[in-house]
Amino acid sequence: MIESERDARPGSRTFVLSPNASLSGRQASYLMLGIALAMAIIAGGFALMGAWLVLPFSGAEWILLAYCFKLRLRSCRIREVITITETSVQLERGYGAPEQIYRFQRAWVALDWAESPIKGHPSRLSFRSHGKEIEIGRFLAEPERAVLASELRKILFDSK
Amino acid sequence: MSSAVATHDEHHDHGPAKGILRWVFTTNHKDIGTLYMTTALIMFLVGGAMALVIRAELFAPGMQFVDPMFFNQMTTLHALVMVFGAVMPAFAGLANWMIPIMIGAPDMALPRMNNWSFWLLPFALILLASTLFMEGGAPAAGWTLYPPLVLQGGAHLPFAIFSVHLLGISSIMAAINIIVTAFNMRAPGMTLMKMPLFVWTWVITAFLLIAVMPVFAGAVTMLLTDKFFGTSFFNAAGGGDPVLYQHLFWFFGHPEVYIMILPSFGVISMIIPTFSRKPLFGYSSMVYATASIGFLSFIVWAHHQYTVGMPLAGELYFTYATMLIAVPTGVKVFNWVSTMWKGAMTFETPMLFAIAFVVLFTMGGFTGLMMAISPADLQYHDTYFIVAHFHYVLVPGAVFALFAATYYWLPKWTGYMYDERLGKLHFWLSTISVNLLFFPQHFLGLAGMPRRIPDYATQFAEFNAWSSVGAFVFGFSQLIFVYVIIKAIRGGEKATDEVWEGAHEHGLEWTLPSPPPYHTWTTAPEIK
Ligand code: HEM
Ligand SMILES: [Cu+2]
Repeated sequence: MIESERDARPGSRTFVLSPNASLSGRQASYLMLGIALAMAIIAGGFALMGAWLVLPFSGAEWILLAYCFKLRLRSCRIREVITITETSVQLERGYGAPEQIYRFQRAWVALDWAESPIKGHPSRLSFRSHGKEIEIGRFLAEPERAVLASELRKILFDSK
Repeated sequence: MSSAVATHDEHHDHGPAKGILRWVFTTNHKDIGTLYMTTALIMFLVGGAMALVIRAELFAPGMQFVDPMFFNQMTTLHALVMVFGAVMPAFAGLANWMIPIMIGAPDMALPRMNNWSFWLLPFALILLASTLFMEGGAPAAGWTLYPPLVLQGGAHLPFAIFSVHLLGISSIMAAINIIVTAFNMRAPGMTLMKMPLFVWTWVITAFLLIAVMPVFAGAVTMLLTDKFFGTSFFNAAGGGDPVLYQHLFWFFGHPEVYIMILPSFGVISMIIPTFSRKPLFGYSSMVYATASIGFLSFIVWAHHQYTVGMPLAGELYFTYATMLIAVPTGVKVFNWVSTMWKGAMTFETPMLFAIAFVVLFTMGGFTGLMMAISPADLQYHDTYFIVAHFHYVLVPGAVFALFAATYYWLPKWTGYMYDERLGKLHFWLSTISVNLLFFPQHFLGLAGMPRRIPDYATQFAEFNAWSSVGAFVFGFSQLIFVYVIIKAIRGGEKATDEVWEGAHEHGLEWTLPSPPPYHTWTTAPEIK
């Protein structure tokens, strides 16, 4: 998903990029709670009948399931924030907070958008400046990347 | 800060690695699907060969080829291999291949774990097979592994149980992956009630797996501690109860048979609309019916234990609860038939198998209703009637659905049309022989022939001979199937993207090229 915000100053703009996710953290918690309840009834019932060895297996499995959801939800929390001002282009990337920050001088930055040589493979969009290249929007779907590329191009190059 | 942070995630993999390592390390959902299904096909042939050993011995009364101990090992291994090595992995393979495509996701949610859940499988299966060469041979107490009999075997027990644990872990990881994928990776616009039925049935199946696998794992672990660590969970002399094992096993075992059947329902619900050229009749009722069947499968387990001496109230409860399953199942059959009703039907091989599925699975359902009645089951219990019933559900049920699925999606997977003439030959030989194989077993059972025996009274000779002839024809017909698949992989007539006329209305997979690109949906599909 791409959200963009226009700044008051001309030529300035902020983009927030995020991957698609069809389950929210809250929904995942409810789901895990429901599963825990069902498993507690089953394993607890058998424990009462004397088969308490079911309990550790149920517990271990629930933890694995919760961990997998957590991993997945975390990878959906990645955000890329592109801030374009009159003089600079900045990319912040991270989970919850900016963990990597790249800043370029606006006048020097170039935008690369390469189709993959293999049909059906993802394209690659990146900023390039002074021999350094940073890919952006890797988790976006193809049409989203196309929109982002043309928007960026418009702001960075057409307004000059 | 002036832009000098090192980056690690800038590499980009393009397409598969070369050679054998591609398959070892792959995290691609299609590669893993292919691995699963190839393993399943091989195991289907191995388990089938074991069945033929059994049927060869049973061709005539008296002992001819194998000794009773080996016969029992064959019955046990045949069942374990078919259930855990063939049918479940085949559906896991289908899930891997199709679910991301069907919901518009680029891959499974946890690709690395996907690789592990596959690779546990061959190791577990080899371990299981290795028990054949151990002192005392393979497990021979039946696939239910009932104590005390199973505890009296040779060296196999810890190995067989370790293998079962690995198989369980493998399917749990697959189930978790499917759940997370279906819930978190759907393309924008793909609401839950727009998910194709195959995805729905697999999600419900995955919940069943998650709920029952710990019970089975616990049960077999208790077998192990009873044998080696002096506990007596199941030993009456030490205050335990062998019937407790039966409760544990069937609390797992009954949902387990639905684990093999629900994804079949999904497959059939995809195929019948395509070849009827109509949308599926009653989509949402199909979802609710599947969920009800999944739920009911947890509260009927003791219909496998009517003869252990349950209280009358228990017998009544389990009888009524079991018969209740006929209601949602009836809804499903009704909807399939209604989908075909006045449809512009054509009868390509996938459709033939789907129709045979509906008819023959329903027959298996009817005998199931007979056995649900606890007083009647006292006569059927542990006879060939049971064998006939569950094979009607599992072979023309689960296995035919897998055949149907393979023919249906093979052109999509390989990019080439399969040989329709050979497909039809495979269908007719299989359908006729499977009935020859299992139908007479109803009569054998009603007349009192017990299951799991290598020898029998002469009055059972004729039906057994028919059954064995059916088994061999069925077994060898499967070589046609293998040949058709290999042939389609190697080339032939190019398949179009849509493959089946009008198919794009019945699923996202038909809007992709045949075969689909290595990375599936980098372009999020548009869901209407
Ligand atoms: C493909 C053709 C098949 C043939 C010819 C065949 C044949 C047999 C035979 C002869 C037995 C022994 C019955 C007895 O003596 O009690 C048996 C048992 C069994 N089979 Fe099959 N079978 C086939 C497919 C399958 C499939 C696909 C499955 C499961 C997915 C399956 C599951 C079982 C089970 C659970 C048992 C019971 C084993 C036990 O008593 O512990 N079979 N089969
Ligand atoms: Cu059952």
